[in-house]
Amino acid sequence: MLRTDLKHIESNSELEDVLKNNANVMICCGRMGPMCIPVYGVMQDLESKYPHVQMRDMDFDIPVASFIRGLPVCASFMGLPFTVYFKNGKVVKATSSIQNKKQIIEILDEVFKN
Amino acid sequence: MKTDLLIIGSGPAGLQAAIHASRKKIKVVVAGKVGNSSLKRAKVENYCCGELLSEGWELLEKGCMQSQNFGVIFKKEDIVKIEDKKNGFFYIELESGENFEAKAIIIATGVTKNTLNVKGENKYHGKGVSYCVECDAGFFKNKKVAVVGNGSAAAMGAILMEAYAKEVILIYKQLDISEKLKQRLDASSIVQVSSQWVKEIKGDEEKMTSCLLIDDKSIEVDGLFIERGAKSAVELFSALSVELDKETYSYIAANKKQETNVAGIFAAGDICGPPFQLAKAVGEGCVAGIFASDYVKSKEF
Ligand SMILES: Cc1cc2nc3c(=O)[nH]c(=O)nc-3n(C[C@H](O)[C@H](O)[C@H](O)COP(=O)(O)OP(=O)(O)OC[C@H]3O[C@@H](n4cnc5c(N)ncnc54)[C@H](O)[C@@H]3O)c2cc1C
Repeated sequence: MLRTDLKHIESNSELEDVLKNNANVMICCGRMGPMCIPVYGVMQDLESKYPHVQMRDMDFDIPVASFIRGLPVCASFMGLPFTVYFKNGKVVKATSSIQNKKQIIEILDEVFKN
Repeated sequence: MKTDLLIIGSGPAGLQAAIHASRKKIKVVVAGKVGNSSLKRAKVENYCCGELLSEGWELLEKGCMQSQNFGVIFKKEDIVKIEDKKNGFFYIELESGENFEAKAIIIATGVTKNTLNVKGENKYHGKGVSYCVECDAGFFKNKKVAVVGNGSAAAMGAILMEAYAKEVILIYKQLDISEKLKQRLDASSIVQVSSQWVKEIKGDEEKMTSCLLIDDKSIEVDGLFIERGAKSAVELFSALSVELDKETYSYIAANKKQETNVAGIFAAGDICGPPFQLAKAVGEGCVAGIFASDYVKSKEF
């Protein structure tokens, strides 16, 4: 399990639940490494500023992560973490490897405009 | 070898910490290459009580001499690994393989840009371009990769990549690594391309496919690891759960005593975030040196 203060997705039912019941979802799928930890940190910081976005993390090495790893948009990804943004259950953006706070804010504002 | 305090970084923050800690009669080791301090090339005219214009390298030389006078031991190598032994000691490994056990650590590694700033780098970041061998090596199993950098991080990264990739190329201008690490590199199957650097990263829009060197030769690779200088503090300390600053998540978070969230680990200087100034680095180094030595003395080992 990832050691973060974010809500984790650990099973298929949790994944289905969050995607089905929320319009705006951001999932960061990674490990506890130096490229991933800053992204979890930024998400924790932004959670309260983006109440209309559900933010979750997911361990890259658990079975449910095969959903993120297998997304066509992630096919060319070769850097942890894989961060995927969903609007009404559909992928609208995905990034590979570390992103800074400014980059993440830009994406959130672009894809989850109120 | 056992020591009381190990300071990672021999810039002004590390040197000032060493001076204050060693004067409290504890055993202090400073690791790091003085020549890699960002002060080395600076000409300073805003540092109180110095010359009207001080040469950065002269200040560093004086700082080293002062510390040595107080008994500080210098190891002019990069740190490549740190572990918490959970017995009151931290295990610290140098690039040559030599290791230490220390009761406390001060992180004074400064900040170095790890980017190359070349065309294609942003575009293929995460799609072949990586800044962390340990994080992303698994994506390059049986592929051909290059590692670019002059320091220990690049050399160690290339050696690690050998276990994954079918071919590893190390691109550097001039290596600045320990003799032992150079021997390991020479004994490996890694192809070394010296006096070179990457000037552009090319791809097929989906992922990177090659890098162009400064002599206009192109090398076809599936991945490029950019590993300039030494391993960053964030890389070294992420496994120990040392917290980062809440604003940018790029620096080490420290309180007024320069303590991090992990008992026995302190931080000082540029690695604690801006402003990136000599005076701040020295001030924080002083505080870290004092409280780290108090910590060492307060513990019954
Ligand atoms: C061109 C230039 C001009 C500047 N001019 C001024 C000025 O006029 N006035 C001013 O106040 N400030 C100036 N600065 C900023 C000032 O130099 C820095 O704020 C100061 O050097 C920071 O000190 P530091 O000890 O935190 O880090 P640094 O001086 O950068 O030292 C970091 C040390 O850590 C070591 N290190 C890094 N990683 C590892 C590792 N894995 N293992 C072991 N060792 C490691 C490095 O080798 C180095 O010895 C200038 C900086 C630059 C680059």
